[in-house]
Amino acid sequence: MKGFGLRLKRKYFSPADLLIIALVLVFVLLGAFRLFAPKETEGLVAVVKVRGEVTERIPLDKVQKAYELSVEGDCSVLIGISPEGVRFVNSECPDLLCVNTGVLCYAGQSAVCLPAGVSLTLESVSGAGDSVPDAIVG
Amino acid sequence: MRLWGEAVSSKFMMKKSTLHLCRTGMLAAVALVLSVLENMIPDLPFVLPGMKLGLSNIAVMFALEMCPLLSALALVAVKAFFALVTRGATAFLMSLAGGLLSALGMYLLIHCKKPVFGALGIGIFGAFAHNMGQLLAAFLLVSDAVYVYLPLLSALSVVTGSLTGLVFCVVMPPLSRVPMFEGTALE
Repeated sequence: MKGFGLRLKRKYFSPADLLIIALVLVFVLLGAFRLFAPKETEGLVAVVKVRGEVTERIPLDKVQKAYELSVEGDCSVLIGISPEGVRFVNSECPDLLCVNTGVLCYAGQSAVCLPAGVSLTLESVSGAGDSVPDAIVG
Repeated sequence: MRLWGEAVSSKFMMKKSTLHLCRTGMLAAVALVLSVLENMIPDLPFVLPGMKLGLSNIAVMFALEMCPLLSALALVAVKAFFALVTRGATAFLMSLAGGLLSALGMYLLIHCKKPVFGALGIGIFGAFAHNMGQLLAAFLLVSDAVYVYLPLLSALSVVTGSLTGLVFCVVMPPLSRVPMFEGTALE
C-alpha cells in the first residue's frame, strides 16, 4: 500500500484550481470579445472552403434570387445562398451539425461540416482582414 | 520515471509491468463503455450540437493517477481507434489531438511535486485541453473558421470538467479498494 494512500487524498477542490478556472475564463472572454463585436450585415461575401482551399467567393449583394449550390468535399453537401444569408441545406454526413448551425447572416459567422471538410464563412467586403483571427492560442 | 516498472507487486506476485498492462486493458474497456454511454445521451438543446460530456476522460484521469503515463497514452490511442472505426478518419484525428493534449496536460497537473491541484482543476483543465486539441485539429484539417467555437467550448469545459472531476473524486476511494488497483502506486 505504500505511497498509494497519499495519492488518494486528492481533494475535489483546492485553491490552485481557481487559477485553472481563471485561465479558461480568459479564453472565454477573448473569444466572446470577438463574437460580440459589432455585426456587419451589409456587403457580405460568402466564402466556401473545401479542406482549407477557397473554392467559391459569392458576394451576397449580387445575389438576386435564392439558389442552392452543391459542393463536393469528402462527401457532398448542399449550400443555400440567398441575399439575406447562407446556410448548409443538406449534407451526406451522419451528424448534420453543419445543417443545425442554421442561417449565417452577418460577417464573421461560419458553419463547418467536418466529415465533408467543407466550411462556409461570411466575410465583409469592407474589412477583408476582419475575419482573420488575431491569434490562435493553445 | 520508469514507464513500465519491473518490480514485483507483493499482492499479485506478478511483474508490475503485467499488472499495469491488465489495468490499462481494463481502463480501456471502461473508457470505451463510457464513450458509448455518452453517445446515447441526446444533445441538450442549449449546448453546441455535438458537444460531449467527456466521460471517458475519467478513465484517462484514473490511468494517469494509478498507472504510468504510457497507460494513459494507450487509452488515448484506443479511444482514437474506436472513433476511427465508428466515426471515420476526421473523428480519429480530432479524438487523437484532443486526447493527447488533455492527457499530457492532466499528467503535468497530477504529477506536480505536491498535490496542489484538486480534481476540479484537473477535470476542467483536461476538458479544456481536450477541446483545444480538437479545435486545433479542426483548424488544421478544415479551415480557420472554427475559432468561433472557442468561447463556447471553453465555457462548457468548465461545466463538463467539474462534472468529470466530481465523478473521479467520488469513484476513486471505492475503486482503490478493488484488489486490482490496490497497493501499487508509482514509485
